[in-house]
Amino acid sequence: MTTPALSVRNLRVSVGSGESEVEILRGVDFDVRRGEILGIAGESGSGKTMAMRAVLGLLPHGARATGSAVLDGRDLVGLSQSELRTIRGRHIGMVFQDPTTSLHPMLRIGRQLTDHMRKHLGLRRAEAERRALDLLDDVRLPDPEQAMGRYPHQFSGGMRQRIAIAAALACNPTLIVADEPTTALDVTVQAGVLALLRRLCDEHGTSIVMITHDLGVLSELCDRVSVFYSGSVIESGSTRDVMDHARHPYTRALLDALPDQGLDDLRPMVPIAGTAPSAADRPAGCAFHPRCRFATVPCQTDPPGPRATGPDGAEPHTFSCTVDPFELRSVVR
Amino acid sequence: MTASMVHDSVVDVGRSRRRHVILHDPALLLGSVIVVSWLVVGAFGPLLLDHPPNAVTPDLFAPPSGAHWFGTDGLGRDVFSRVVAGARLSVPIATALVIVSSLVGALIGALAGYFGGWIDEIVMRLTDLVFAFPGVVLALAITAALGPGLQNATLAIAVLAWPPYARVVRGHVLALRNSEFVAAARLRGVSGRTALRREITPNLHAPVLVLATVDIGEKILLLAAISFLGLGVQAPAADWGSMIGEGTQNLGEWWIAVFPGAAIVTVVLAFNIVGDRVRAHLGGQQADTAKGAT
Amino acid sequence: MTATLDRAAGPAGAGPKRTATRRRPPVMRFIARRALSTSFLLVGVTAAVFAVSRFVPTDPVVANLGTEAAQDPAIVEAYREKHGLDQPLPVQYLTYLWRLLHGDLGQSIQTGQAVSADLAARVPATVELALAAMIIALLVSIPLGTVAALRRGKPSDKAVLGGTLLGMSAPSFWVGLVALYLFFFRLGWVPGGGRLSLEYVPPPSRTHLYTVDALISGDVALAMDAARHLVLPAAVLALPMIALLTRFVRSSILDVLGEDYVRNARAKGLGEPTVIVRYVLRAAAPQILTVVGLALANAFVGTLLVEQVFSWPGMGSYAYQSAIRLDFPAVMGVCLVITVAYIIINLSVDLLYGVVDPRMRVTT
Repeated sequence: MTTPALSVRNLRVSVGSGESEVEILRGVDFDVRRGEILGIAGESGSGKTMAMRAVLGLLPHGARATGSAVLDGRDLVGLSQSELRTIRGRHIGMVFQDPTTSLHPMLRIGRQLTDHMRKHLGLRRAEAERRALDLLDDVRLPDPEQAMGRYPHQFSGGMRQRIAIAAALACNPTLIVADEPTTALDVTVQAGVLALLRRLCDEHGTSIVMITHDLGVLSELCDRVSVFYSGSVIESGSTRDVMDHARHPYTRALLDALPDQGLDDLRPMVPIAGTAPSAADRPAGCAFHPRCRFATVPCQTDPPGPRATGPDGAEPHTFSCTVDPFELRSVVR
Repeated sequence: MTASMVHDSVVDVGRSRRRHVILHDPALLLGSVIVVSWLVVGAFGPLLLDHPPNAVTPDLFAPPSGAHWFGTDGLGRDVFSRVVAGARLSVPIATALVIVSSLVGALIGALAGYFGGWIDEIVMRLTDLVFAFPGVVLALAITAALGPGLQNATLAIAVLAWPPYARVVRGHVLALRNSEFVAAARLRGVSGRTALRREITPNLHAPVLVLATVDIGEKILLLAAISFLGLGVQAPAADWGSMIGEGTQNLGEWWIAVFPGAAIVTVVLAFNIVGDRVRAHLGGQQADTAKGAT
Repeated sequence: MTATLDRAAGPAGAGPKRTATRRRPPVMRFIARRALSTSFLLVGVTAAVFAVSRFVPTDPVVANLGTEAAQDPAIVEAYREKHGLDQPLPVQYLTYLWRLLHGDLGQSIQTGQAVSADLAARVPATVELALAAMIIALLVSIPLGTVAALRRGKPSDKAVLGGTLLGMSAPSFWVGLVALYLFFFRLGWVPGGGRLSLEYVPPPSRTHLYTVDALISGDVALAMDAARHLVLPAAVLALPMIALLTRFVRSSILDVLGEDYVRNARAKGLGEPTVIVRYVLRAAAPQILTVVGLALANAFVGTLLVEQVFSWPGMGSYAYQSAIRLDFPAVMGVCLVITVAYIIINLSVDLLYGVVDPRMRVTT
């Protein structure tokens, strides 16, 4: 197996210092393999977006990252901003949640597609525009020639997101980070955008990190999944393993909170009690224990480490729970 | 007067944090102290002066010295005394002007916002009209028409002072009228008008207060400008703006104009600082709640 | 000063919302609406000026004829008839408007000439001063506001904000006097007033702006002299604007800095100068355009107070001299010209939004 496109180890992000230091991300590990789509799931505030911002070196003011994030053999954590600028847009493309706000409203599409190409690839204007036309064609935008001279507001939301994806793809990056790319779109166009991402991944061999809280998107699109809770990865594995055999009570609760998708599955929809803790007042022990139906006394004091589910699959499937109430239940069920 | 206004604002910020805020914000403290000092100087200063502000002496154009701290002007009048006496005019007049025009403006705005329809339309077009006139120009026109003098200058400024308040209050009334808590008050059986008065009035203190604090400084400047042009306070009364006007004639005797100008700067700056800080505290609180939501 | 700040507070607060709520109205309708409200304003402004001039305690007959002639009923009657003062007020107003449209602003008591002729001789000087002040204000406030926004909360930002507060608190006429004392009287760096030194003759008129005309005619020494006269009053006039505009630019930039497309630009690995100039300033352009309009409008108003200090032979010193001599027609003429200029500048700014912001243009 080749080396992963991105390998994140013990990534920590903290803000403040001394007494008021708060750890937003508490040492996460994950790999993104070449040509795969990794889903990162979690509620807002779980640190999923922060992790990718740390990788890109786009942390908010006052936040610091430690650990490592190796992309194509190069550790991005600790690089200077000017070094990171040669990587962002060139080796990592980014797709934001809302294409209405992520595209500049007053710059023509052509400009927004080409400015980083010209910087990173040293293309001349005409060359960059030629490539931009190919990209727009590739993302199935109708009439690319005309689109180049238009402004974002002249396109529909779905089309805008296709343009944003084309921009992320422009320099043929190793990795594309897509932060909830369909959340702001109409349901009817979501599927088209997801299919586009899948196809680009397959055709270009680009790896994609898909940040989402939508488990439906995860199960449809992603090869593997990492579930974040309160700054830690609490479960990861192949999408099939995680969705069908979730081991962490939180993942399980997330799945139970999902409205039923098919008639054959008549589980009741169960909301998760309580709210996710903020990084500033995270409970001791397992961060999920106050909301966990299966929490025991040790959960309140001992932070659980990752453990493997055992050698039953080809893909490693790990989770962080001391109790593992599903060890028996999943068999019973 | 002003001190109590600042106080009110801080009450809005939160009763428990009231003292906390003013003591932990050096800028706000400094601004308030300067404002209060000028009010005290205006109230009691003239009683303690060695030289009466209008006393003409043969000691013309004397530079600052131990006898005349700020020197004397072309009529041998003591500039220090005149600066102190000037505090009696600008600051209280501007403050009173702003209090009256903010109340009037707020009332007009509240009526426009509450009743809507043609009343609102007329009020809004009227504010448009006043906004279309640059302040100095309108004041100049009116005082030129009515004749120069402090009274007419004040009247001219008052004519154009109310619209900002009317706009701000109208906007808030419109927003609040349709808000949930007024609806909730109606559901409790409180009549619409009572609900508006009871629920909306407290919410209007903050925006009006911020506007008013900065406005006092502006009105002091405007009053000084009109007097500088010779249309405001008339000789021989000691006024900062007219003193600067007199200084224009005698450039070499810098003290005639520099000290009254410095007085204007300090008092206007103090009002601006207070306004800025009050805005920061009130706005900052809104920002905090917004942040908490994310 | 008041109106300047009010106006600044208006668009500053409404700026971001304005683009959000006004969702690309068809451009023709937008222009029509603005033209309509502007004509309403112009009618209102002229009506107000007319009303002030008719209802003043000073009888216009006495004001224009002098007390002695006003004693004679025959003369008064003749005058009233000649000037239509015996007509009903609405007719008088329409006559007044008709005259305004033909450039008739009445006769100055002080100079005995038509106010329009007096103004025509003085407006170019004011335009030159106001344009110079606007350029200085923009050159200083846009970079300063941008830098302050980028360093938000740091000491340099606080220093800039404190400085702007100070700038807003100082009366421009006083600053002018102090500057004149320092740079002319003490240091002798600049001339003491006027547009040109005595030994120079004004350049052949093309734009009526001495600095520009002198350059066009290739007279560098003359241009330098004109510029030396211009720089101090323009800088003084620019000072309160710099204070106001720096705050305005800073808050506009802060609005934009938090936008997704700025994060996106950084995520594309673009250099910080590119991000700031091409993305941030471009997005803030409509608001900065408002600033340009404000700067120009304020400059015209500010000349009223600053010109006199520098003996600058423009509209401002004309207004001052007319005001102290109670030359009512002249004062009203200046007020009308400045107000109309003010309204037209604001209208042009609104119309220019369409050029700067593609969302305001007609969509296909």
